[in-house]
Amino acid sequence: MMNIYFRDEKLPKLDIITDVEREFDNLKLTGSFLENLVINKIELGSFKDALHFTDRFGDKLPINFMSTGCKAALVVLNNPDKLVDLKECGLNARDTIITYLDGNVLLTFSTITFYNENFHDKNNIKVCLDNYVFTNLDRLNYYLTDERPYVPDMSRKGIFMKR
Amino acid sequence: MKRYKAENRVVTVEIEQPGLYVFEKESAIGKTFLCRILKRCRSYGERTDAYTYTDLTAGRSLMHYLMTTDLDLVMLDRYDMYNDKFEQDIKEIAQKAIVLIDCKNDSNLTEDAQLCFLTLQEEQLLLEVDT
Repeated sequence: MMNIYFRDEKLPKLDIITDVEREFDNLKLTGSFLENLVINKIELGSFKDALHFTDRFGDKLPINFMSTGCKAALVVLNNPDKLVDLKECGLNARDTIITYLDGNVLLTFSTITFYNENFHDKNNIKVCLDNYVFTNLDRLNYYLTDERPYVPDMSRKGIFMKR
Repeated sequence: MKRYKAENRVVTVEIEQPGLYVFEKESAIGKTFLCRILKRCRSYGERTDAYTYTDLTAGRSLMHYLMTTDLDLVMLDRYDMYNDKFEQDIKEIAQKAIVLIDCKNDSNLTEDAQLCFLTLQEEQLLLEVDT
């Protein structure tokens, strides 16, 4: 499950990763399905080996040449017990992280909405915010724009209380 | 139009006027690559340069880096990590040079900046302004 927190609100007692580039420097990629997915969605490339990836033009590049947004996604993926600050992420990287990964992320604005043009099954997310679990991207967006900070309408599909 | 060449890529700049320009809020469009190329071009004697968060953490001041020579094109990479620092210095540089800012969040500096677009192509990085 992906846990979302917003800056200037109450945060969990987790270590916070602010400098994702620095954290990424100490990551060892394994080429797992999710690492490959993230590299594919954000860089339009693929995992090559622990030190390289293939970019959108088919060139083999060192992994430190990846974008900061892609590095942030890989840091989230490999640090499920830490809170990762996504302030350097572009919208495409942020939405990939929210819709495909598990972990804990810190975002800046509480009125944002999420979008993923490649994410056709909007009923396949698992995002926790304010002790509510959202299983539908549109339902999460509705909560952010029309309901929060008030109690959401629990009769609408795609939301349940966290147990 | 100006062109710079390094690392087997041509950077084509279709921005004419000095000023502040902020990139669209997308990842993996080639910003950090552009930063590296502009730094490399500076080492070749071109009137370009770039500044990033690791320059700051390594103790290199923006003033020393970017204000000692006349530059035509400057990029500030990862500005979210030093948001609202050097504001006046950057505005001063933008009087004479094109200043490109990678900033995903709100900042005083980018409030009045124009939106610009970077397109990463196989042999070229194309830099355009929002019209």
